[in-house]
Amino acid sequence: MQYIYGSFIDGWYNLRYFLISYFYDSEQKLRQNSINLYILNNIIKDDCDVDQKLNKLKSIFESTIWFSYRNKLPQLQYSTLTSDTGWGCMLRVGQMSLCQQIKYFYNINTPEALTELIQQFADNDQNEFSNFLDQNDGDQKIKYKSPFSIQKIVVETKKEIQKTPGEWYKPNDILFVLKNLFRYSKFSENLRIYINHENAFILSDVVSLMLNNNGGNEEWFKDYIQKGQNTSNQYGVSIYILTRIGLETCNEEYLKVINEIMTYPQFQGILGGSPNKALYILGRVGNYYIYLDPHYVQQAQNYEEIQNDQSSYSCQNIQLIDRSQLDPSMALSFCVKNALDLLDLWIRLKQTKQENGESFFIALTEIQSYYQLTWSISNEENEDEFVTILS
Amino acid sequence: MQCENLKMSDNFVEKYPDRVHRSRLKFQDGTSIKKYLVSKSDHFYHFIQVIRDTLHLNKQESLYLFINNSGLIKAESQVDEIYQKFKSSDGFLRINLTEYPSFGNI
Repeated sequence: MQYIYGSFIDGWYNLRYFLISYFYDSEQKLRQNSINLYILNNIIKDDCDVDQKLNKLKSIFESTIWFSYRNKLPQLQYSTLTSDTGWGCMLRVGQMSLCQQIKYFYNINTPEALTELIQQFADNDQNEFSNFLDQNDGDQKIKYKSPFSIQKIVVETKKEIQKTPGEWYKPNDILFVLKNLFRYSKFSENLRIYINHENAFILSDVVSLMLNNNGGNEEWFKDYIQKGQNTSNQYGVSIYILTRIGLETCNEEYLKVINEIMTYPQFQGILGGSPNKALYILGRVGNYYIYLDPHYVQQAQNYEEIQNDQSSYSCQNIQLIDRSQLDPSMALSFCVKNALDLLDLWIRLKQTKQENGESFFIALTEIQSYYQLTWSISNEENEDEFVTILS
Repeated sequence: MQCENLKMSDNFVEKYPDRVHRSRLKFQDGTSIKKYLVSKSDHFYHFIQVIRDTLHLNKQESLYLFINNSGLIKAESQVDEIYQKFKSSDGFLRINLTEYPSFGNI
């Protein structure tokens, strides 16, 4: 009975996926817009004919690795579920985003390397899962072939956030869990992950991660670059800025800033979506955002099966969402490959802030500051005690 | 959640001219928490940290402060600047606190 119900739900999701593609007719909308297209860190300029533009867009879109719902998984820990249909969309969006960051940073484009990258996210990792359960002690030296499998994500989520399979993820949940699992990946060798949950970009924090040392303010960082320090000691950094650009709907002024941010060469997509539906937003064309949709059910593939067939990890249907449908909660992502790249991103953010004034919603801070609480002042009038906040 | 605070009483203006009196950090569910004093020139970053501590939020949880349902308070904003710009006629600055929603699809 459960199997029949599961098949019906999967069928419904896939039918809806195709109906959205058919009725929204993204290609027609793309053809109508004679403007530049922005997708990840690429700009497709409006200096060639529409077909050429579309072909370039399709090529980038289809080469971006797509993760979607999977069924026929081995039974997940802490539940009887064998599929993530209906609850795993943000989990899949997180996987897509991290995968894209790794692909971009390590410049992965050969078929063999791409296969190995997809295998890091294999949906069935039974060969090494028991090892993971036994050795899940935070040892950074252990590397797994599939550190970002749904099985390991579920275990790490339960351990850190106390959520069980079937519960919905927030963008911060999945990023936190993936960052924890990243230490088990061979790709953590030269890349670090920076997540700011407070809508802030703190330069010295990113610099510290990049140099594996205490970083300073902008002046310190410029001085470091001018001295021409050894670049082999620098790590790349995947940067995630979690933000919310409105309470119920997106603030139009803030969306203009997002549009500007999408033109940066360091831009690596947005974990966001429409209310309840998580989507991986790759770029924009006019008032529409280009996205990869995880709400399509496919059969789980294990490590060996991915070796033979990776076609289910490439999406052929370019989909667009109108800006008015966007959920205000999102995580902006960037990837900086070295110190110069980071400085360039910092200068771009400052420039955008200068141009947009109050509408620039990200807090740009050079260094982290701390506070202290002091119980020090009593109000004689009503005998209350006040806590002073000292910075 | 709504936080009704940041009112300066006359008494406090005289006593502590450089400070904003954050009276009654009160939430819509009726929970009344502590009262805080912060320098006018200070930034919201510290107050956000205090709220996080008060609500016992984990480090991976996100918290955002909104004014008038659409304006996001940036951590770098100065307390007095926001207060002067957005305070109500009754002297209170009302702030909406919000977390992230979960994403799923049924």
